[in-house]
Amino acid sequence: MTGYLVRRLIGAVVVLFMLSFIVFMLVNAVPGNTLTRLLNQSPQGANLTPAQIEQFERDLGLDRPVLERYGNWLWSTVQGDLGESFATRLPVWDEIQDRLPKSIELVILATLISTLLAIPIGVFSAVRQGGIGDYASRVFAILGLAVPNFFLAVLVVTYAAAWGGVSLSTLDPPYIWDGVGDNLAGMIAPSLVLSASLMATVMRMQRSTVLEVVNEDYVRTARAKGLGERVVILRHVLRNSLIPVITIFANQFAFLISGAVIVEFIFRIDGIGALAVRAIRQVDFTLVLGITLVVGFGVVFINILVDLSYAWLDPRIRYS
Amino acid sequence: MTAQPAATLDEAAAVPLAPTPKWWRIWARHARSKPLGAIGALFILILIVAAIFGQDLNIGGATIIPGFSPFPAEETDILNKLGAPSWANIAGNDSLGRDMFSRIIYGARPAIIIGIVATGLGILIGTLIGMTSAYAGSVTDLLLQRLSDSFQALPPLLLMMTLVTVLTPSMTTVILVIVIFLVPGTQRVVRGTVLSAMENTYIEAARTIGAGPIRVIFRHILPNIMAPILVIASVTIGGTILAEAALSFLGLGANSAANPTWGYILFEATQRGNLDRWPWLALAPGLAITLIVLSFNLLGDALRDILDPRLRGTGSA
Repeated sequence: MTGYLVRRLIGAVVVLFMLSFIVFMLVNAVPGNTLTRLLNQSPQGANLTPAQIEQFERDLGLDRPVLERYGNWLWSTVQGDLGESFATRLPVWDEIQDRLPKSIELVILATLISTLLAIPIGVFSAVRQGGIGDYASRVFAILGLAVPNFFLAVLVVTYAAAWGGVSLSTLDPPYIWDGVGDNLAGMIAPSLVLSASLMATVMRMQRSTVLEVVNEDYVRTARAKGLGERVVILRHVLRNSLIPVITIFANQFAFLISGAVIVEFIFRIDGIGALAVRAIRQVDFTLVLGITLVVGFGVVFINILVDLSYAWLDPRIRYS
Repeated sequence: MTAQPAATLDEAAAVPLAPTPKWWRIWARHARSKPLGAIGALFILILIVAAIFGQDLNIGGATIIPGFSPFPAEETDILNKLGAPSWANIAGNDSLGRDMFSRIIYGARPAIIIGIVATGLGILIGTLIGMTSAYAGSVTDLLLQRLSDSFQALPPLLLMMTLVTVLTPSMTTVILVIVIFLVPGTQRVVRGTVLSAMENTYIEAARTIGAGPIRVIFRHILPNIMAPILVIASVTIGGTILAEAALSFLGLGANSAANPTWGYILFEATQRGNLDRWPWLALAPGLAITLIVLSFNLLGDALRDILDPRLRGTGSA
């Protein structure tokens, strides 16, 4: 187990290293000088003399070769310093740290909502296969995968304002420790929108794995020895059908963060997604790199956690 | 003794065999058993027709076939700003008085082009890489897989937004970016399929009689993994169209004045306050995206059931 964990962690470091290299090269080694684009976007940019531009370039270290800059960036990152944002001159880590709590909360809420609704509905749908409830949940699942989250978000914002008089897209909710009520009031609608496609995916997966598992020999054995249907479903079917479903959560995590980018943008939540949109628009590449690394770290970490959870769900799985 | 096989052959030839059903009969049978898939296919067909013939079809500067859309996408009608749906403008007018129905028809072309071209290229490159990785094994496999992990550790939208921004948005950029996003996932599935296909005895047999890697891959492995690839492709097109719409919505898509994309039309709608008073601004593009993605998903599910015998009858989807 320890050996397995060590190997996974080394693998994770390699993946993050390659990820940072890819993104660094993408943002740097592209046609069109990044600096020129940066300056064109700033109001004073047009009036700079070539000498001033050169000075600016030296200040930011942009006159060095790309590989050397990557080396410098990597060295300071390893020491825990992600550099400072080009646009705001604030430390990148501070910018990220301020926004992480709301994004993490959004993702956790969306995951909770989809888990709590999708798993029971998926099981129910499979147990009562062909019934009205099964049919309705399948229609919902297939629609949930097709409706774009930004369309859903626009509808929610529009009709919350028109029918409920609630303006969902103007106030950035406070941190959860500054008032749970106010925070949840602002977070619940975006989390619901974000959870829709995950819910649909999990529901479909849960239904089809339950359908597979109910035909297994051990389920027949459980029934044959006289266990009640409830116990059979909860103890034998549900538990054994969870592994593929948990895998879905791992696979969907990166997509969930993609969704969070859009949802934060529409609901005006000042989270990592909104920060990423801003950083990308301003070609603020130290910030883009920092966000990419932090988010990539999250995705890799979640994947390791999910792999470890398999062993807990299915005692036959032992990592060595 | 020697005459007997010949006689059996003659006999076999004499017995009237049931004729092989015509291809359209086979498809009609599938359509009856998978009505939802058939509805999806029909809607996709309508959309393709709209993409090709909706606007003027120009070849070499001359209009070959004039488009059937009621108005050009850019034509403004000042007297009809934010006009509600009517017989003349069945999906209403936007804040500049442009006909929404025509704009949706014009948006079909970029959606279809990106959906088909980006998915096709992504699947093709992903298949080549996946087959190479599985067949080469050892260090090549390890490197390619870790590289693919790195790409997959990035939220797709973040990766695509970064790429589009540094390359400046255009149709080509968006296609390229979506291809880069599709390759890691596709190659992983293909690699898995190839690895299991390689366990088969006929591969060993082919190798024994001296077939080289290229021959084994293209003559023996590829034909056996075509069905899963086709299924991935049909399910992926919906996701591709959704990805482009999301990029367009953020202003980083393939939108142009002549061919507005659905994602961008939806973004325009949000720029107009009090959307509940003119909901058609958001509903027209939103429903267009939803319907087309739904159609591709339904078709993909039906194709999977038909092409993948292992899943037949499990009632999944």
